[in-house]
Amino acid sequence: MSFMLCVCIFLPCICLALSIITLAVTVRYVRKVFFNRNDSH
Amino acid sequence: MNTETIDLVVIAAYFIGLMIFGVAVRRTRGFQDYSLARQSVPAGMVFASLCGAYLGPGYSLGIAGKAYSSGFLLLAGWFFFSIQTCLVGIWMAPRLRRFSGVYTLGGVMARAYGSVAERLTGLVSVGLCIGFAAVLAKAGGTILAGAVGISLPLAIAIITGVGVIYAWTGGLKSVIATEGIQFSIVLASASATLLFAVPKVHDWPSVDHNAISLTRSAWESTPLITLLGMAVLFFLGETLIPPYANRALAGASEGASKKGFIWAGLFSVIWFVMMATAGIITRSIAAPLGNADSALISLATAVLPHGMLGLFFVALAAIVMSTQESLLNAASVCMTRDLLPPSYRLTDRSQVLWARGATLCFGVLAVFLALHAPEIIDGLLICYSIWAPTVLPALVWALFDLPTSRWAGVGSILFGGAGSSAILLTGVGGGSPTVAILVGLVLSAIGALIGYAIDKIRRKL
Repeated sequence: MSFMLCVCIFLPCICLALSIITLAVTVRYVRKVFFNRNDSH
Repeated sequence: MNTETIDLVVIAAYFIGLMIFGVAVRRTRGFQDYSLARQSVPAGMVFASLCGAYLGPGYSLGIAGKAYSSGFLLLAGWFFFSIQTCLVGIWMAPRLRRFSGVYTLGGVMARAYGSVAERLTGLVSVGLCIGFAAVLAKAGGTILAGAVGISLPLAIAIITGVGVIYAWTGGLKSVIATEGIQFSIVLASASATLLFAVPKVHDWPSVDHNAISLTRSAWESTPLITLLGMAVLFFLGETLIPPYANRALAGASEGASKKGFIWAGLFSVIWFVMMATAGIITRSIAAPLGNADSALISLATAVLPHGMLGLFFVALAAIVMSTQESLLNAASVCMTRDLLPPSYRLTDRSQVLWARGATLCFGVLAVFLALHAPEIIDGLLICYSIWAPTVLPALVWALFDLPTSRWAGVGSILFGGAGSSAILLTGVGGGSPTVAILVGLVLSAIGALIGYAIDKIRRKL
């Protein structure tokens, strides 16, 4: 299998997952810092 | 550029959304809240905001462009940035976070070397941040003007102005929050560009062959000294520049700062490989390019459907804005803490007012300077070669708690700055940023020794 094809599929999939995680972490931070909502419980 | 109404709607919605966010987060509880987000930023947000801050046009369009013409060769240089960020995470970010009551690098220098070093560090920090912001404003303005068909000055004003709104209202915590969102958009749209490109390539073995032959021919035509120079630049040029230092100081704990930096360093390896890959496969998809720096934009234009192309341009604007707002926020905090005369005994509220005023003024200044700024890579290299020899040696010395003296720090800053500026201005050694950094570092060490000797003599007298 082509090395570049692997890179073109594998790394973007990691980044897409990371993008969703980052968005979730950011939303949690915004709720906590700007709207005083604590999601810890 | 090949944009349609749906793309323009996506771009307009993004900018309007950011402005609404700027208004929603206008409440600020004091200067520590404004400048360091109350030192309560969790590791995940230190990571996201640090990535948002360092992912500028150079580390996206620049890498894809270089890979388009020279394959994976220059990854060797960029990886030194990754190593540097991890090392800062392991050794320096936790030490920086340990300083209590410190808001800027000038504050650290004040503890180690006194007020003169603090003011000099503040001056260099503010100048560097405004210079960086102007260079980025020009790069972002050029992208926006090309995408939506408006004039360059207007595009520069929009890119900078929208970011200034939320940096001005909410300070570091709103900058960090928007960086998280912007980083997320950048990741999603860069990933989508590569995934949409996969079915467009019909002969993958030839792409592999292309990558190897490009890298090999670039290796044969690039002198080793050029590669070593790049390694030095990427290892030292951006080390603990003020916006990165702010994130280390703003971490919820030493561990949060440490983890945020290490994760950001590790992530940069994935990002650099991805951008280089995008540059290489552009050769197989898009028509031959006159300007290699447009490789990533050409790839996105060729593979993304309309609507997602709009999101891609939003991501490019986000790449610029996230870095730019970090710089303007850092510059305003450095101005308030390090450069105002000591006789100004400011209340907490007036410090916030000063910082907000400085954010606005520096934003306007960045817009005007952007109209005369050099191209992105040239501008960044000039900033790197001034920062590394000027503040970095004395800062690292202080962070490792080594014996210091008042004039050693001042001597290091003055000699290092004078050395690198002289190389850049006179063009000795080709005016190369690498030479400027190396000469500046040697002179910085000499300056520190002279300053140390002066202190010793003064104590004896």
